[in-house]
Amino acid sequence: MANRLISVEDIKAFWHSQFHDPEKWDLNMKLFRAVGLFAGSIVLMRQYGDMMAI
Amino acid sequence: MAILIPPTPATATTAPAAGSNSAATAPQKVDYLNLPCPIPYEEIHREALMSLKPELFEGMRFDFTKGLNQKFSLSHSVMMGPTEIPSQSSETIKIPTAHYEFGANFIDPKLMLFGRVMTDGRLNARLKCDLTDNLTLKGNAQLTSEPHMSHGMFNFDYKGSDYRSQFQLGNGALFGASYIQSVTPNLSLGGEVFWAGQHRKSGIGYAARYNTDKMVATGQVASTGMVALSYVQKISEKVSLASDFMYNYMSRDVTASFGYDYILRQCRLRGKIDSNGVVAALLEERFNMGLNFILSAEIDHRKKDYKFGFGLTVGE
Repeated sequence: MANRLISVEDIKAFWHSQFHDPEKWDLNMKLFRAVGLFAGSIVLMRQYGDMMAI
Repeated sequence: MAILIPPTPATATTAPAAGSNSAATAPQKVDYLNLPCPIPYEEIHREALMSLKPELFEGMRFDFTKGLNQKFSLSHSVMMGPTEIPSQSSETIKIPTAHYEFGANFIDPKLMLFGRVMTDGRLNARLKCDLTDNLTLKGNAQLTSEPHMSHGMFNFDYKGSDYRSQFQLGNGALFGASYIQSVTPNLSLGGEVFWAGQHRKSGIGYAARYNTDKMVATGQVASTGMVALSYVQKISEKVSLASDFMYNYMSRDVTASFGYDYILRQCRLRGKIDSNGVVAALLEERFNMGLNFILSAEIDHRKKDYKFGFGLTVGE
């Protein structure tokens, strides 16, 4: 029982360091937003681009 | 009495014609010794830059170009508006400025000369000369009265049958070279290397470009930490959509943008939105032969920086 609590604490510490670190999360959010915009726009262009034609 | 009619030549040739159509639709064999010449290395993102990096401005702009003869023309430009100054803080600092620029252009099939001089004493000069059919010399210079702020650079471009190479010489012991080769009719690969003696820095980069009739996709990486990807979809002769992604892992800066480019008979409209929340548009409307009206807008909601500009261009 005690060992399981320690392992859960370890996981929580790892999660906190990776995802709750403000600097890393700011950069990761900017990266996800940019990659999402780039990839999403390519998918939109290829699938629905013909609808924008005049 | 039944008469047997032999098959006519028309019906006999329809079967081989159907066979030749299927052969025409099958992929043709690529002649790797006869590939097309690729575009220059520095223009590898050309289509994306044309759509996504229009010349946005803030304030009022007036350009007048007068052709004196078929080869020589003069230009006068007046620009009034705020100019951004780089600052350490996140706030943008703008100083209102007004300047006049006088220019002279000489355009010949083998030689092009451009010169611009401004009221603050800055001079811009550009030269392009075709030394032979395959060898081109290009030069550009910016001269100012401030010490150590003048720059000059010469490029020698050689165009082969399916490759291009370039050698650069600049002040401050700047040397650079690039090479791009067509690998298939649609794919070209290239690389560049530079050495900046004054700053004791060197770098190497690679680029790839894949283009078809409908799309262009490019990618570029450099040892300076830059990764640049772009994709352009040519919807029709008048419409194209473009997207680009720029990431610098040294400075941790990342930007992606998505834009459109409509080239119509009387106007050209370009707009884009990017991942930093900046929305921009540029409209160039042709009122009459030689008279263009320009509207520019760039809105950055995050920094609360709103830029609007209008201008008139007279002459070609």
